[in-house]
Amino acid sequence: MLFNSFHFVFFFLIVTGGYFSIPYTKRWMWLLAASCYFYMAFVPVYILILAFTIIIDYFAGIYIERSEGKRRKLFLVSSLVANIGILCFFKYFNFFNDNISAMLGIFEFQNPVGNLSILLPIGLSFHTFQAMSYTIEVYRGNQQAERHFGIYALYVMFYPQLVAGPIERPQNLLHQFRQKIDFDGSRVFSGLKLMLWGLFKKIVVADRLGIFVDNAYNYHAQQSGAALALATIFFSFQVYCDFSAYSDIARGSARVMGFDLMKNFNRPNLSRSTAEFWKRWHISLSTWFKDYLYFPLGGNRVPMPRRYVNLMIVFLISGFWHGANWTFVIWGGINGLFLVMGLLFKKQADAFWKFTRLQKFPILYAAIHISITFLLISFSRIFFRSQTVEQAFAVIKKIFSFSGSIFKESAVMMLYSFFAIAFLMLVEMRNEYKLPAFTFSLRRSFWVRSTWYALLVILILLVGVYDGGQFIYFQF
Amino acid sequence: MEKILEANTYRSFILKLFVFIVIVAVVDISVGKLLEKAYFNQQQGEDALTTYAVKEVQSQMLVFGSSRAVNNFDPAVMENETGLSCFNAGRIGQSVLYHYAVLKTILKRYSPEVVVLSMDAGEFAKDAEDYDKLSSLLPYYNSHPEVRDMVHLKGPIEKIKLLSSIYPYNSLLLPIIKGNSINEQEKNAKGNGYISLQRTFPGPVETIDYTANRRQLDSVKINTYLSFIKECRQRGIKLYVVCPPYIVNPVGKNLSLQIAEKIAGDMGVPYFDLAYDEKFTSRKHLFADFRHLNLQGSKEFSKFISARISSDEVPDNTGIHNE
Repeated sequence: MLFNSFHFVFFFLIVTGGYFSIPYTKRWMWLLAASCYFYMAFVPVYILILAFTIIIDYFAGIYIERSEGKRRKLFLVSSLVANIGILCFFKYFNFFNDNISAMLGIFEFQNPVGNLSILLPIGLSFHTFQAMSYTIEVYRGNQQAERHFGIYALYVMFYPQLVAGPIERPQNLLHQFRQKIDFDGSRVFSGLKLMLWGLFKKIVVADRLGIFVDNAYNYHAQQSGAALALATIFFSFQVYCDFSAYSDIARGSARVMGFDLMKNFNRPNLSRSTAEFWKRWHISLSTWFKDYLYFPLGGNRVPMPRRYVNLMIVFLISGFWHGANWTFVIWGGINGLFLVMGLLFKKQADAFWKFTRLQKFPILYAAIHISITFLLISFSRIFFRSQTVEQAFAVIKKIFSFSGSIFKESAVMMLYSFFAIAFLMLVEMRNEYKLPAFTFSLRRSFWVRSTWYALLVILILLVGVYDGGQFIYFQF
Repeated sequence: MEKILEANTYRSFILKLFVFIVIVAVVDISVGKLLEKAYFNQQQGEDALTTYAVKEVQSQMLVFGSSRAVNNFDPAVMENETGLSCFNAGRIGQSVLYHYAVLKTILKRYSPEVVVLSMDAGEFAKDAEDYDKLSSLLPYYNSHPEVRDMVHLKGPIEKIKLLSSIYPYNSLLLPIIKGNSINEQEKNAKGNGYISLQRTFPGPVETIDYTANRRQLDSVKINTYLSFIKECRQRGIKLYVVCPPYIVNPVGKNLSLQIAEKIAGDMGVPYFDLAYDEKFTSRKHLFADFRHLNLQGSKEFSKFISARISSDEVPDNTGIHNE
């Protein structure tokens, strides 16, 4: 069930209406049933995988809490092995098998093991990571083991963030399922507004840009370097709007019911360095890796060379988390390299900017930094968007040949695309730099605000793309 | 006390929500009306041509098809050759689903004497995009009930989307502005639906293997094609199904074209198969690209087809079959 579908609209209305109609002590049952339905709308049988990990982690949490010493660690490791094992089996089996086949092929051996013909369970990487954060936090003593099986199952399955995050932490979410949440009209409106803005980003911006991007990348051999460069820039906006739209709708729909999910994006396109970008992009995953991988590896408290290695490990694994393809590993590696280079050459970079005296012109200075960061991130995304490593290199080669004119899907389509980006960036810049509001979303008058949001609905109806399909991050 | 407060909260929320919905509805209807007026006032562009076909055309001969109809059939040439007034009602990127809907709107007003339906190699292949493209019919949904069956093929919730007055004009704002911004000279110069291509095919001629990676067939499209033929037969319209030339080296036979020919044959409809006819494929300079003729090519092709229609008999040595 896609957030941008009518199926979801009906589902949301029924679930929210039901949620406020029943006594709060019984609401967890309603939400759990709704979440099961939501998940089963994709591939019903895969709910068994979820059930399996929920049972394992539920008991693991209790036993971790009850145990001490090595036994405590043993329960944690068992839980992690079960979760990672399922993830590896469903997501990475074919990838590893293909690579083994390729290696054996070099020595003219044939791999006797065939590939699995299974669909990747939707949102597997997301709910697996959320489940792991629970057992780790219980192990660390930051979270009490949840005794109520239904509430724990709801923590993993809560439908707004089940298939594409935000990847929640037990400390933030679990206790909210026990709170008595009264109906609050202003909170409901606030949630609906967030959902509407998410819908705008998905339908008006992401899916519109996706038309050009898909045409350019799917037929890259026929495209000019200029067209592919533009498609790469467009893809940066597309992937941001697509994923942040999902997070906005998830957070909005949770907020309507009184739940507060963590913020997943903080205007990453306005970052002034790649290090800053990773603090603003997919925050729930970045902090997951920071808390559960980077810090255990030593974090910033290790000698610099080791820190570089740690950063590379985190980013390579993060890339691999996104997909079972070398393109994602390389994408992660490039971003890791950006951070390492940033640390390595920090002094030289500072000296260079001092030499240019551009700091005297703060707006220009910021604009240059934002542009460089955006271009670097966009460059890395060539690997993210390409189907194969070969395709990515072919695209890069074409882009740097600086050849040809920009392919036009149609002049109208291009105009819509630029309008969508301009509107998005104006709103983001207004929020980032607290500029005077050019929209009426913050006005005190209910009528003015309502008219503004009505216009946003009209804009979605007028220039939205209704055949855009699913969210990019669903595949992960 | 708590219950009273809660009831007030609900009441205030519902009131605000109601006001918001009313505002959305008012703006939607107002903007929708404006767009409707502007849409049907267009004097140029493909929407204006569709409106002309749906509402006004009275030509004796009509051509239907995708870009291979729009770029290959020149009504001016066909009029000269056959003596019948002609209009090209084709639309770029559209499939038989769209053509059938437009045909039905026309048949509600009058019956042309001759209809030419242009075929593509992927005519009956399953392609979700062909259903998405039926959006071109949305502005006619309310005024022309004949298009509704085809519009509903877009999806089960299309009816709900159409509750909005703006939705039929989705993504049409800029084309509408363009279609309305013309000078007096251009006014009423919609054209006859034909768009010439000036370029020449640079080559090389590629090989297309129709036996490999065959796309799944779409039974809805095949049935619509059948309905198109039946509708013409019932009205006594002389229908010609034509496959214009491709400049490719084909391996095997194209399944869609085979089916189109078989059905036409079974229904007693003349089928002119010029897909790989040497009369055209041996002359690369007649093509704009591998699937479209250029200006010179389309004139020759239109003349050739017109001659066949005029004589309504097809010599055996051309590879064109007639029932």
